[in-house]
Amino acid sequence: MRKLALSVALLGLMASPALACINDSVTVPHERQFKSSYIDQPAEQPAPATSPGEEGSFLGPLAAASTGGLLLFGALVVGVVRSGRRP
Amino acid sequence: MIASLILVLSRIAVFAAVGAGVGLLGTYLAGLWPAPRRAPAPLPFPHVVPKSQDGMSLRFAMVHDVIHERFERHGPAFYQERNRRARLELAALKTLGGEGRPPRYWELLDDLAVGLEMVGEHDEAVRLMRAKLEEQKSLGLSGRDLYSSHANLGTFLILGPFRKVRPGNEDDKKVLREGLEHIHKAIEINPDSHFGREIWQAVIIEYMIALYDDPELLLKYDMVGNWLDALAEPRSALAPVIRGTGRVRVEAAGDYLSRDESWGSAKDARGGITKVGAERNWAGEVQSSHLWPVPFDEPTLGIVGMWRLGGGAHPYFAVALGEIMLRVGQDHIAWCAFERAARLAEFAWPDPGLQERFRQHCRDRQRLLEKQPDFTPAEKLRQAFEADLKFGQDHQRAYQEYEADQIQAGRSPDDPHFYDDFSKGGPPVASPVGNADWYDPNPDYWEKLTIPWPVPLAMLGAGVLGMIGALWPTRPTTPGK
Repeated sequence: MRKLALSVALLGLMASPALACINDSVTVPHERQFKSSYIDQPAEQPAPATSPGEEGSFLGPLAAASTGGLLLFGALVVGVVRSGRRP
Repeated sequence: MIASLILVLSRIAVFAAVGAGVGLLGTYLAGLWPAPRRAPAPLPFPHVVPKSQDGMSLRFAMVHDVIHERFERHGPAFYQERNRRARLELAALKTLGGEGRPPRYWELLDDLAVGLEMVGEHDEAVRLMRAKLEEQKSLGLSGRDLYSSHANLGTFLILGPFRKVRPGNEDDKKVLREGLEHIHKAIEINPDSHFGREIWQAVIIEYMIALYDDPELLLKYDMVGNWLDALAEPRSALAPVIRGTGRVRVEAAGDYLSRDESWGSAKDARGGITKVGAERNWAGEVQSSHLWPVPFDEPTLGIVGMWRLGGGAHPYFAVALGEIMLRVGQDHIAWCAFERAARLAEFAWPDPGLQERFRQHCRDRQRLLEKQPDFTPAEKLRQAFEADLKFGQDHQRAYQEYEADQIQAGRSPDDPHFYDDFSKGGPPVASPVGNADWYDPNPDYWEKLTIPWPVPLAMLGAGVLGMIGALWPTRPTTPGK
């Protein structure tokens, strides 16, 4: 009977659409235990997992280089023209 | 004429050289400098580095375990016994008299109120916490002293509307807003408490308030603003734009795992974590304090914490975990989260039609995952899910029965050895961490990302400053000088 009551209570807790950030005397010990259950485990020698996708593009560098080259060429032209006009 | 030409060209050359230097420096500072080649070896994803130095970092096993209830929860017997003891101690403390109240008094009030909430005495829990807050204020207490009062009162208040959703009910919305106000006050007092969990509690309350006005949002966004129709790209826990020195920063996560005192130098690795949430028009449709995509581990840890240490399973938690895991390539965990969310659909909203559509979304997501290459057949996965969930729920039941038996035998839950006999009973309930938090950076991947930025940016800098040098005003030469 007690088991049944506990089960019902447990189901009630599970099903209650509730959320909570309660603060009581067991909160901090629970958090510590939670952390130690996972973070303090020795790191397992990992096996290869999936590499992430690639999102690089050469468009940006190409645009930057072209703009820079044109500006540099323009600067030389402007320099030559301006020096030619000087008395 | 020639002297003038040489002068101008020299000036252009100097400006261009400075520009090239600026371009190179910018390349380095922007993390675009090509990284040195290394022999490929498995690396931890950057989310293993916590957001704050003493904070908690995420492991995918945590998500797997909450979905399958693989953690311990106190039962009603525990809280009833604690309530009994708290009342006795409070009565004794009240008779002491004297100025003010000892810290223990406030702790006991928190314990009693939480215990009342946990055994279903919601109104009494709210009343007690309101009385505590009023008494604290009347005694001139402020700041951190009020933290737990605001956090608990805010939490208790919102539980009512969450337990019994009455769409459009203005009183419920008012209660939710009051609860939200207290949660925000608690966050203001102690922003880093509970691994930032309260920040996500506030976000789910804001989501709930929005649902009261427009329940259809339930089928558009999850509680962190992931758009439910998204195709979920990219599908990795590592953001796909890690280039050059950015890669080196991400690799520092490995140093952190071997030396956690290196957090200061490793924290930049977090820049490589895939971001989730606040997608599409979330900010326009939900009045939320969460406005931009955030590293996926932040809401995930918040949800895991609320599920484990708060009120337990909830369809909003489960579907959000599914959407997040989908976006970071954890397909099996995502499938299980959607399975759990579908099974909890009746608690998503009172309207059966909306429940069915919510369930349908979960099933659609599962079908999407099942199309992935090498995905475990659905039936096999469902059997494993059921076995794992049964294991978790059986463990919680056994834990609570153990508590009840021990209390009936006269033992105190405050006894540090109270659970010793239970712990001897079997393997730990938490899953092994495994290798899900690691990836293999195959050389092709890094090669593709090593775009030759330094030369183009040096050229751009040289061009821009070279042009400035060419246009620089020159002093007219004075004849005779």
